[in-house]
Amino acid sequence: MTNAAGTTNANVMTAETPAVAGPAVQGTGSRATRILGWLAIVTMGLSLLFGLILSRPEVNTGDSVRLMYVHLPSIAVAYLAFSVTLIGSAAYLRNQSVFWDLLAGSAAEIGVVFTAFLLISGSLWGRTTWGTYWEWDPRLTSTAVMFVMYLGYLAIRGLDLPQETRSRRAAIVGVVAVFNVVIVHYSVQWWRGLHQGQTIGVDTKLDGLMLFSLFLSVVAFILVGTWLLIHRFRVAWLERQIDDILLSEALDERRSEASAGPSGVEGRV
Amino acid sequence: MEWTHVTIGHLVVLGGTAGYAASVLARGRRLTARIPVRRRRFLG
Repeated sequence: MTNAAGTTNANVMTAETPAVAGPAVQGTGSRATRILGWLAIVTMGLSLLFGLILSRPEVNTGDSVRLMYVHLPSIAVAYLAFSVTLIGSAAYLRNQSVFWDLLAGSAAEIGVVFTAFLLISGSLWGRTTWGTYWEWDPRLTSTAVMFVMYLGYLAIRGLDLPQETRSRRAAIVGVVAVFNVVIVHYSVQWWRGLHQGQTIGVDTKLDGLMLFSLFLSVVAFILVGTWLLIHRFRVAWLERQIDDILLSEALDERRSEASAGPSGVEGRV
Repeated sequence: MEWTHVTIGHLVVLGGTAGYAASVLARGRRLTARIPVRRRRFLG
């Protein structure tokens, strides 16, 4: 692995850092995440039972309505994730806290993953109801733009720049990109297109069991999204810690090389 | 055709979620093995 200083290190654990003693913590799991994980699995199982078996086909679109139980929850998770990115980015711009920066980045990654699921499931649903996988409809187009914008956000986070510069630029994009989320949400009201209006609202036409199945699947997906966010944040935190350790090791190495130089004069790092 | 698309959609979303979760957990396991306990803040 190459660190920020350009040196190569096979393993972060060295003789100076033998603190792994005691009960070995394996992975990013904890008691709370294990409970949350099992809760998510059980809820997801129930939502599949209701969505695929117990709920009835829709009058006009038949069984393809069952795609709604993965399509709509995907956008719910994506919206929530991008909201967390907005909060994290704004908080980072205010106080430059590593916590908020990593939280924003982790949430954006989850949002992008679920936006990809949204586009794929929507495309399959479109094929069965509209007869086409893709149409340049305002909702579909704005969702695709949102997907690309957050991919760009993740690309900025991967740039080879000083940490503060990279985080600040990503935070600015994280704040600006949320305007597109608003456009996606209201696109079905602002412009006329192929995509249906909002599924849930004051004039909801879903029958009781369909509405319950949808509610259950949204809850299941939000539980999964929360579980993913906690783990992804912990991974990002560990990565940052390892970068810091590698950097300080490289600096120590340079200092010791400089101080052991032939002139005996302490060198500059 | 309806059930084919429903099945593919569910497989993509649920399989993709499971795959992504597995990759995050694997990265976490790999990283915790490389880092001192005192720096494992936020690990619950």
